[in-house]
Amino acid sequence: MKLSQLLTLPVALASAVLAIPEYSEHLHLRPLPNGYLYAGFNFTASTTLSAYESQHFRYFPRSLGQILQHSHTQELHLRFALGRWDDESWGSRPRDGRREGGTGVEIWAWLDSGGGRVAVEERWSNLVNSLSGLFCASLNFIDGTKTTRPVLSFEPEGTRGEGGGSMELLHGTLPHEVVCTENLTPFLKLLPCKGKAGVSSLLDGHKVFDANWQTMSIDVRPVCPVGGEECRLEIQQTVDIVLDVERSMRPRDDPIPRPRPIEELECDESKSYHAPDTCYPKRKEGEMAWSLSKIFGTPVRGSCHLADGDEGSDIGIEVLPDRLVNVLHGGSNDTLAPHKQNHDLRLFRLPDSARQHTDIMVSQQVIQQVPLQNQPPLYASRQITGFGQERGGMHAVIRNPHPDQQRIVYLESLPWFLRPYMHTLKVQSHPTNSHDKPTMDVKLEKMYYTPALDRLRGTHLELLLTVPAESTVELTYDFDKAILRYTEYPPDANRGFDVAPAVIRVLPNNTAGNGNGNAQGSYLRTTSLLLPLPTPDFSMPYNVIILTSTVIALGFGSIFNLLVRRFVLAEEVPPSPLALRVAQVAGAVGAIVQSLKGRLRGTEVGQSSGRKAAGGEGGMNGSGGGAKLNESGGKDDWAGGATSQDESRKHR
Amino acid sequence: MEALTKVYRDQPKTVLFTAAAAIRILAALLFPALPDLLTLRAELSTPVNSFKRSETVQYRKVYSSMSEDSTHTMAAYSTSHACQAQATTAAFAVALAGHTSLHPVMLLPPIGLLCYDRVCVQSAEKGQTSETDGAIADSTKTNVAVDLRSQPQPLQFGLRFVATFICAEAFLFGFSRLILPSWRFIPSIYMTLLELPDLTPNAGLWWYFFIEMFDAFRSFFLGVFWLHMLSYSVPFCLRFQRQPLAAVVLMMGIIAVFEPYANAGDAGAWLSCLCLLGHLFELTSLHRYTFPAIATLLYSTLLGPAFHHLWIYAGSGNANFFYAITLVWSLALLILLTDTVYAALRDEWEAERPEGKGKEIRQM
Repeated sequence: MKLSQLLTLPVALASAVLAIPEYSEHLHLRPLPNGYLYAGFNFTASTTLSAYESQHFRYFPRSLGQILQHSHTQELHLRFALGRWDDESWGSRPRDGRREGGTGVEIWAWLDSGGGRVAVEERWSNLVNSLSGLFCASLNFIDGTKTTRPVLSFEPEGTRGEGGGSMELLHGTLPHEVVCTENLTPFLKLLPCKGKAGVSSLLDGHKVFDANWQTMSIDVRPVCPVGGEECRLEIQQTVDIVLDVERSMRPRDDPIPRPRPIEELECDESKSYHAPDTCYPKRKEGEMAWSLSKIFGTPVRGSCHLADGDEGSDIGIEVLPDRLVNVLHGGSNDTLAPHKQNHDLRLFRLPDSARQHTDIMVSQQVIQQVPLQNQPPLYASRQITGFGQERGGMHAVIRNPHPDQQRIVYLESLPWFLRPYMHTLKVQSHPTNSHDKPTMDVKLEKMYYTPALDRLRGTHLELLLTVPAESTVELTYDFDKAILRYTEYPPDANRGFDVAPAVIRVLPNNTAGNGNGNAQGSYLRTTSLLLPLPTPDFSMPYNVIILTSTVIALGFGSIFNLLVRRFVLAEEVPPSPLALRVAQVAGAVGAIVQSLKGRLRGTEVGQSSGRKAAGGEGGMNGSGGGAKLNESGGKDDWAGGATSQDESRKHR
Repeated sequence: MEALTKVYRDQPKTVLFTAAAAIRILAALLFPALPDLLTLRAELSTPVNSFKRSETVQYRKVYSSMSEDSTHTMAAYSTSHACQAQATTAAFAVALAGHTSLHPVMLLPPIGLLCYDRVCVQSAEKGQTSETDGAIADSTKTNVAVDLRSQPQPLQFGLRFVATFICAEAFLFGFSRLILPSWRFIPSIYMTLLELPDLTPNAGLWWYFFIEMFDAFRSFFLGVFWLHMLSYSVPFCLRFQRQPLAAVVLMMGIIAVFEPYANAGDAGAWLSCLCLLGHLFELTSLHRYTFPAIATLLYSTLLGPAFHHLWIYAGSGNANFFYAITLVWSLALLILLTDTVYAALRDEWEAERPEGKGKEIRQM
């Protein structure tokens, strides 16, 4: 049984009465293998277009409505997501992946395209900035570099009456955004019961963001009934989470996992080492026991039955028919019987009284029957290959487990600092099971590629291709990693940059498409990637500016020094006046010292014997004469220099 | 062997170009992985000349296939034609080189000067041969009375040269517009050079400076760097009026060191062009720091790739390692350039005053 069909069941039931209730809510629960529980919340409100245009809001949130009117948004899809859907063990995605987003925040919207490209960009900027304020998310960082215009990947979900102007689709992603409770609180504020009553009372930030996988979505679309009734604007809010049952049921006052005392353990006594002090815990058999109040920390408080004609059920549990499900409300304990048409499903409608709490309990039970696991249309994963911070490669693997071939649209929006080389793009397929057959090139039916512009626009790549039956398609291309200005790095620059997940749309097999859901096909997204970029030294700006400037100044200085001066022989250079004066003073001082010395020696000689007196006098004369000669020689030099300079002037 | 020499003597150009082409083709055939290897080297490949990038990037397709090789070829071609006093061809070659990357335009004044010089010499030779029946061939060594009236007017010649250049450039723009869908190729090519949006590490001075530059001062320093590069062209022409070839080669050196997307190829082209000034080598090695400069060049050639690897791949060094080595590389090239400027000036001075040969000199 398809999960998506089950989810649309209450809506289908309600539409059978031909009156769409203005507000309805539903919680779908389904245990997953290995002790996980899927919980899908769905809140749908609608208003007539005329009421919307005259700003009469009842269940449709006014804050969001006014933003949509201001930004001329025809259709809005907003996603907050965290974690990874493990499709190998959990099977196909809920709601065919149509209410799922890539890690972080993803938004796409159809805007009125009247007024040209500039007007559309203005509206888009208005929309993301207002939503950023409304949801406390960094949506305002979705600028031109994070916006793409996909061609094939998305189609409007809403039906539109005649006379609607042309629309333009814009798509933005924020893979780095960490979704948390501050995004859930404004999400709950949009609901009529504000998370105080009805199934929305289970939504508590601690539990929702403790999940292994969670995605919140808001979808606004116009719906025109076939019967010629007035068109309505519908808002659908969903929260899909996969909880680890055991972790969620830990008591709130003691959340840290500790080893349980040995008395509480069930030991596997068949083990050889089993002893009173040794225990090998026995694997729990069968399905785990859980209850809403234990998992979500609180039972369902009251109900939120507001609109007339809302006769649908509030809670649906998809378990095997043999499983025992108890409902505990207002002191009474009832067993929930399987649905008449579908035995896997049990539906429950909350009582109208607002005060009573309702809890649903499922006991531990050993059931031989294995629940049917739905296989997803495709398995997809994407990795970055290569090493180093200079270049790398993208490698996406898409596996088709089904015996039919499938046409898919592969969408990638890459940041501008990842520079792909499209001539290296290779799409090859080989059969999944047999490795004997050679790989074949897959022919791309269509390719839309908008190359990136530095700091202005990211890359948009969209491929339409066919995945052959039971084969694996590998898509590879090379890319370069750009180095950024140091102000463009985030504070944790060495963590790397997030690259948005690739969106894969599996096109429906019959192109005619009878239903709305079928025409859309199903979606799946790969995980986001972490791209390490080369980083400069962030402490260096002054040093770098100084060092580089020094080298340039050195070059400039020495070249222009040579260019603007002329050569002269070293001997032609006149000594500077200062040097002359210093030499003169030194000479004078030397002469005085010498004469003093001479006098001293003269007196000594007068006192000593006459034999030595002659030699002493000679020495004195000699040294004195030497000093004088030196001085005159210096003067001669100077004069000679002057004349030679004069001569050289004459030469010229 | 003798036959080879004979052929070379008869048609030196043909042999040279054939040999060059043969080596190029042989290298590609013998080492098929070589182009891939070379395009991946940071020192050789820059955003402007990267062959791999050119295969993908919009609007640059036509341009980059001509790539850096052709810029060098065009600069050399222009120089050779200027030496043969063919003003039109030289101006057209400069236009072609400047069309693909902006900075060869700075070669226009020195090449114009070189052209003018050769035109003067030719007209002087003509006059001389008519007078003395070609008795003296070497007109540069001996001072000959030249009839100034037979010389072309410098202003007139300059205007004609610039006009040829502008016409050639206009023709190239028109031709590019014919090939490409719109005029948008002009900003996408020239803004990439002027604004340095791509900061991929290379062997130049710009990339790390503009990574670390404060945003408020980015445009100011871009202007300063470009003005700085521009500031050499005219002074070189003024100072080296008597040896215009030196002005051309020195300007090529300035471009190789200070250009925005510098690479080892440009520096290599310049170093080979230095052979045109072979008569200066003795002077540089005698009076200047050629040995330390060349030793530093070798040092940075060896350490550059190693430090790049340490930063980008091993992760055991940071960006400063590679930055430091590019600084050293640029410094060594600058020292070599300054030495050549010195040697050219000294050579001129020594021709004027032969008694100063080998003596110590001062600058005033």
